[in-house]
Amino acid sequence: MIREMHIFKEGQTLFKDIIVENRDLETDSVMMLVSTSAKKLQEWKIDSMEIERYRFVYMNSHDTQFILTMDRQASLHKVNEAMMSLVSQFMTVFESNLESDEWKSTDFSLFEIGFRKIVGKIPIKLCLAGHGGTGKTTLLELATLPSRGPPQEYVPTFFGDKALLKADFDPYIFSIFDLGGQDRFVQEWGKIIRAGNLVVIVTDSTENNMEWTKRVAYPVLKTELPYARAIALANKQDLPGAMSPEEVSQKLGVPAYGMQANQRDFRDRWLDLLRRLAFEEIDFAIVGEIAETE
Amino acid sequence: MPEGLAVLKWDDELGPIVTSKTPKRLKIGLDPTTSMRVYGIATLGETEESQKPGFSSLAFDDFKLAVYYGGLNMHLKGQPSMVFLVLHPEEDPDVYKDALPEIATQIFLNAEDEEYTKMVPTLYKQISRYTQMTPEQQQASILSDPVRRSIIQTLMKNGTVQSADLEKLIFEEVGKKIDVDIVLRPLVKMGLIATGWVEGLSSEVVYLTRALFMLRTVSQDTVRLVRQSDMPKDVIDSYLQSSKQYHHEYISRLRNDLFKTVWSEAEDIGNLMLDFEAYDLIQALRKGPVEKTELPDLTNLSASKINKKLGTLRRFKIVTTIKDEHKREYVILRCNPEIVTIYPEWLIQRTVDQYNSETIANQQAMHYLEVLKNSHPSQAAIIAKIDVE
Repeated sequence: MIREMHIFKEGQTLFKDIIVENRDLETDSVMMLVSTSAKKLQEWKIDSMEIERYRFVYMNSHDTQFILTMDRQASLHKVNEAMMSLVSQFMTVFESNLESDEWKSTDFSLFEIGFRKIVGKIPIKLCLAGHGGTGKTTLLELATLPSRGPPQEYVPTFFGDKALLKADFDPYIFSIFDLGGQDRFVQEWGKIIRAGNLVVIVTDSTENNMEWTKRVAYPVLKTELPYARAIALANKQDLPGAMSPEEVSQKLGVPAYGMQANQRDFRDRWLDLLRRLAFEEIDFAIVGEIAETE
Repeated sequence: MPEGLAVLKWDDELGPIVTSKTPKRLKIGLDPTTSMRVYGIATLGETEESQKPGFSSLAFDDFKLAVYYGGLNMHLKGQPSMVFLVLHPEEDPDVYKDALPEIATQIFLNAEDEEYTKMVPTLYKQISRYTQMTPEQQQASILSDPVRRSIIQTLMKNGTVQSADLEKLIFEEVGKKIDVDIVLRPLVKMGLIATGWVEGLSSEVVYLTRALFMLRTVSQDTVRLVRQSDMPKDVIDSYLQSSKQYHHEYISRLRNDLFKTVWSEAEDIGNLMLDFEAYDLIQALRKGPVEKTELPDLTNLSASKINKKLGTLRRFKIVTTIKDEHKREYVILRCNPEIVTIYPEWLIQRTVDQYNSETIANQQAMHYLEVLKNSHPSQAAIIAKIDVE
């Protein structure tokens, strides 16, 4: 997931587009650090550096420094390809401006359209993780197949399922992976969840399920996706005795949100949660930093 | 005929994605849920240390799948790693058990720069013919493949080689790095090579257990049938004379340089044996001399196709055609292209020499001598007897 793009020349910002702001680091200082490294790069070479949960991918061409900020957990290969496309596009339009002093008076803001188009080609990978029967497949279908209605019977998901989701997330689209929740499949999650940006921990809001999630799911998630953002869903809130989202949150050490995936009315809430998680407008945890709770 | 052929790779953001398919309209069997399930079945329990590439088949309500999976290594690198053959519900996927791995290997070997995408339609057309291949044609496919041919040539000289060295050798031969394991699989299956680990060596060791090559033999059946035929005497004499002359020269060439003679035409003849139309003609002619006008009935090929293929077979000196005084044209095998496998007895002394000169690791030489001992025809019979008991 690409979050920002900055283009610098001779210490001046030519272009800046921030889709999801980095609130953990002081952007100006980081950009100065990264652009200093970028200046030393050979023409058209790409390099990257990691700071906390971010990765900064940079390139130098025509003495101009191009920097993409991405989630550290996402696939570097695709962002490198995106960088090549972006710089090629930029040069097609602005190369002559950069070769003379014209760049000092050029308006580069139009580049935002091309930038966001390329950003949308790399889906945000969202993993639905949780024990069998907690409602992951129902959530996948609620998001991607709303006309089908909730499944009437529980059929355990073999290995995993996936679907693309395009909704009100511009410029992003989601690639949602429903991870098989039987114990034998949890050990296989590593093959599926690589490069996952977001994790939604799905629970059925029962005490037993909290214990299973911490004991079985957490070790795999923490090993494979330490820098991913996570929330928990306190699903099945309609069932008697369901723990409240606050209780689930406390038990799991992750902000939890109430859900009834078997109700079509909850689709808007579900999509809104996804959008706000992607744009970092709700509380979330970083998987590797989830505190051990009793 | 299967419904279609598709190649899939694992994309970290998108999961399994179809990178190439034929026919273009093929959709059945390729939906995300099915492809995820197939990936699950293929990779379940697999780790980087325990790769398990292989064939599997699955039945669904509306279709069946024959699947070849290339292994977790290819999966994790995002290379093409899965080949789907989509079948009608009434088809038996096991029919493709030998053919699909061969097709998939061609695809995986041409993964670089996505060269395989151009090959997929042709491979799809070939797959039904692959299932009809005789054992002789399967062996010919080894000789027609430059990489595998080069491996067999190297092993026939040295007997044993480490797979890391083989990788280098292949790189020099074909100019690209390829997965040795994929290339070796059919050779192991045909009993031509064995592989094993030797203490102290960092890569697997490959051993030749049967040598494979192509010879032009005298078809005694053809000679007998020509003699007994009611062809005019001048035609019979002309054939016998030219055949004798031909084989005399061929044997001289073998005596002068066995290796060069055997290998210089292995690829061409191997390709001819894999050309089903040319092969049908060879098969028909192995039964005896034929008047050209009879060939369409014997082979189900058109007259123009027969002319074309006979031209090729004549060019490679496999058939000869002789006309009698009534302008009747007879087609006869000049030689019988025969693919043979033999026990590589000469490699026993060669291995001893390599052991003495320390050109290969001692353990490797000892292990190969053990392999040669166990694969000796006399030993194989004893082992088979013990197994039965």
